[in-house]
Amino acid sequence: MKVEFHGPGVCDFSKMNPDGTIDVPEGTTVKQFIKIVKLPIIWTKVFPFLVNYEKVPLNTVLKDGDIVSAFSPSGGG
Amino acid sequence: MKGYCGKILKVDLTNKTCTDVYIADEIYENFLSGAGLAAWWCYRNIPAECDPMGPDNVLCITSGLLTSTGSCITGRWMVVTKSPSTGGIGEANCGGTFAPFIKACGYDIIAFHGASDTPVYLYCDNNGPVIKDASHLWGQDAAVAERMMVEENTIPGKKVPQACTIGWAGENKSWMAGVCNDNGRIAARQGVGGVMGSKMLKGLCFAGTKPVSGENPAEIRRLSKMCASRVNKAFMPPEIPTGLLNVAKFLPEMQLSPDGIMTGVLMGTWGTCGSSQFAGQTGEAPVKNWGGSQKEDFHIKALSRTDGSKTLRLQTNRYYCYSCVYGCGGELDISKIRFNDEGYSRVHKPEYETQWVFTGFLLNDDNDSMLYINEYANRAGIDTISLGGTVGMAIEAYENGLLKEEDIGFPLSWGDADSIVRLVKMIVHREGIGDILADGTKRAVEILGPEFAKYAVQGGGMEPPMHDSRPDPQQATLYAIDATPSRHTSGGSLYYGCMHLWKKVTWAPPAVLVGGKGGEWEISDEEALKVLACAYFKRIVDGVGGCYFGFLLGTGIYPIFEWTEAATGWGATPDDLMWIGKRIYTLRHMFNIKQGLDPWYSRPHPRMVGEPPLKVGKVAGKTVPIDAKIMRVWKNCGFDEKTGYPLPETVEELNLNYFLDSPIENFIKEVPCNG
Repeated sequence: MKVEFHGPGVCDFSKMNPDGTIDVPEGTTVKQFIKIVKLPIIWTKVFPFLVNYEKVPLNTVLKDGDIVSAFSPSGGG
Repeated sequence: MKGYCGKILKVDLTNKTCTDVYIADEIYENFLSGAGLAAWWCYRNIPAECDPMGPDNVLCITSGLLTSTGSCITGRWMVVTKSPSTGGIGEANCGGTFAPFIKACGYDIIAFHGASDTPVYLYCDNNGPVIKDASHLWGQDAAVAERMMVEENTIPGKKVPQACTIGWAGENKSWMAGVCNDNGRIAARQGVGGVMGSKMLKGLCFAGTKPVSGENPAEIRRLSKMCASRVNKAFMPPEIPTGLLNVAKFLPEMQLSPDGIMTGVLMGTWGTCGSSQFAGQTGEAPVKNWGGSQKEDFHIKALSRTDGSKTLRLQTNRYYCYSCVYGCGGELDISKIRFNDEGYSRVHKPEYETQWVFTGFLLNDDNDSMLYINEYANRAGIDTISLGGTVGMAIEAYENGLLKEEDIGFPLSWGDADSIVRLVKMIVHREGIGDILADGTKRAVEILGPEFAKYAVQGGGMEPPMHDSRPDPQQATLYAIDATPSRHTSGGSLYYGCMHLWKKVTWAPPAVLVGGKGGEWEISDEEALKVLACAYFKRIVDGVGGCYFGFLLGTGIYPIFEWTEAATGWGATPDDLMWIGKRIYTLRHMFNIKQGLDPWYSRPHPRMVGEPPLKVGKVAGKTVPIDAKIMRVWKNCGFDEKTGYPLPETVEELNLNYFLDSPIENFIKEVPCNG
C-alpha cells in the first residue's frame, strides 16, 4: 500500500516514489513507518507529528492513502 | 452576494468630492477583487509615465474578495498604486483588523485620485464618506495618529472604528514609507506610504456595519472549520525554545518533503522571528549586505545574542489578525531595553525580516537596538527591509571610502548599534544624508554616483528581503519575474513544495522533494512552470485577501480555490482561477510597460544571484543562472523570451485588450455621493 509522507531532511527519502508516497506492507504501524523512513523517534515526541492531520498513537495501523506529516524546520516571515 | 461589494469609492482629493463607482460583475470574474481589481483600476486610471508623487497617481486601499465571508486567514488589506521606488505597479499588504472595515462600509476599494493641498483623512460609515481635516494629526506618529482618529470618531454605544495611517516617513514622502494599522502593523513595501503622503492623506477611519456574505455560507464555514481544526492540531507549545532549531548547523544541505502545515507551525508557535537563528545557520539569511557569511562574519555567539528566543523572552501575549487561526502576532514589553528614551512599552513583536536585517545582516549583535528600531520604524511607518538594506549600503560605502564622516556626521561601521540607530532616525526624518537615503538604494545611486551601485543591493528598485536567493534559484527567479520585484512572498522552491498546487492544478508540476541539489537548478519548462504557478497563485491570494502564511499551509488545508467558489458560485475550477491569476500577472506587467519600464529592469543585483559567488559559508560557490531562468519563465507565460513583453496572442487569449482598451463606461457606473 502507499502512504504519502512529508518529513524533514534528516529522513531517508530513497524509497520515496515520484508522487511523494512510500510503499509499505499492509499492517504497517506508525512506529514501523518511522523506522522505515529513519525519522528519529525523538522528533515525533518534541515536534508535531500527524497522520491525516490528527495526532495518533504510535501503534496505529496505517491504511492505504494515509498522509504522514513530520515537522520540518524552516525559515520564513 | 458573491463576497464582493461591487463598488469602489473614488475620492478626488483635489476637488474634495466622493463618487460611488459600481463595477460590472465581469471585472470581478476576470480580475477577482482586492489587489487584482486594484491593478485593473490603476491601469485604467493612471496615465503613462506619470509622476508617482504627483496628483495623477492613484492610490487604492482594498480588502479581498473573501474577507468577511466567513473564510479564515483571509483578512489582509492591500495598498496598490504606482510605486516611486520601482516605477511600476506598487503593492503592499498588511494584516491586523482594518480589512473588514472597508467592506463593512460597502466598498471593495477606496481609490484616492488627485492630491489635497492640506492634510486630510477620510472617515466613512454607513452614512457614507466624509473628507475631514487632519492638520492636528500631521506630525504624529502612526500609532498616535491612529488612536486620535479612532477616539474622535467613536460614538458611545456604537461600533468602535478602525483606522490606518501613515507615520513620519509617509509625511516626508519617503520611497520606503508604508501604511500602518493596529499601532504599527504596516503595509510596508514599495513606498506606498510615500504616495499617500504626497496626497497629504494622513489616514482612513472606518466604522461601517454593512453585512458581507458569499453565495454558500454553509460551505465556507465547513471549509473554515476544517482549516482551523488542522492548524490547531499542529500546534506546538510556545515553551519549546527556538534553540531546538540549532540542529540546523549540524545538517548538510539536503532535501526535504514539506507539508505546509508542519513548516507553518513555526509561525503560530513563535511568530516569524523565531526562525532567525535557523535562517542564519542554514544560509537562508543574507549577511553583511549580501557580501558575507554567518560562518565568517557573524559567529555563533553573536548569532545567539540576537536569536529570536531573546526577543520572545519579552513577549507578554500573542494575538491574531482578523479571521486568523494562526496567531503569529505577539506583543512585547520593551520598557527596559536600551535606546528606549521614548519609553515605548507594549509593542509589536518584530517579524523575522526586522529581526535579521538589523542584526545579522548588519553584523549587529545588540538585540535591544533591533527591538527599538522595530518600534521606531513601525511608528514612523517605514519599511524595515528597505531601511536595513539602505543602512547596509551606507555602512559598506563608508567602509570603502565612498562616504566620509563629514557626510554623515559620525562614523559608521558594521555592528555599531549606536550609529545604526542614529542613521535610522536621520533617514526617517530626512536629516542630512538621511534625505538621500530615505528614498532607498537605487535612488541613492542616482544621486551619489554609480560607484555606489556595487553596494546598493536591490532588484528593480526594491531592496530584497532577508531570504537569500543564491541557494534557491526559484526564489531568485521570482524576485526577478514579478511585476513587484524582490518580494519573497511570491514564493520559492520551499514555498512551492508547501503549497501542493499540483494536487489541484492540472498543469502544475509536482515537487515532492525540494532543496539540496534538486531540479531547481535546471533550466527547463517544468521548473519555469513551478515559478509561474507560485506567481499566479499569489495573484489569487492577493485578490481574495489571503495571507502568505495561509498559502504556505498548502491548498489542501487552506482551501482558497474552494472558498472562492463557495463565495462566488462562478463554477470556477482551480485551473480557471489560476487562469485569472495569469491574467492579473500579465496585466501588472503591462502596467509596468505602460509606465516605461523595460522588463529586464528587475534583474536582481549581482550579489543576489552569486555574481561572483561567495567563497565561504552555506551558499559558497553558488551562482544562479538567472538570465536563462528568466527567459524560460517568459517563454512559458507567453511573453517574448528575449524582451519580456507579453506577446500579442497572449494578450488576446487573456482578453486583456477588451478589458484595458474598451471604453471604461462599459464596465462602470458613477454616482456622486456626499463628500
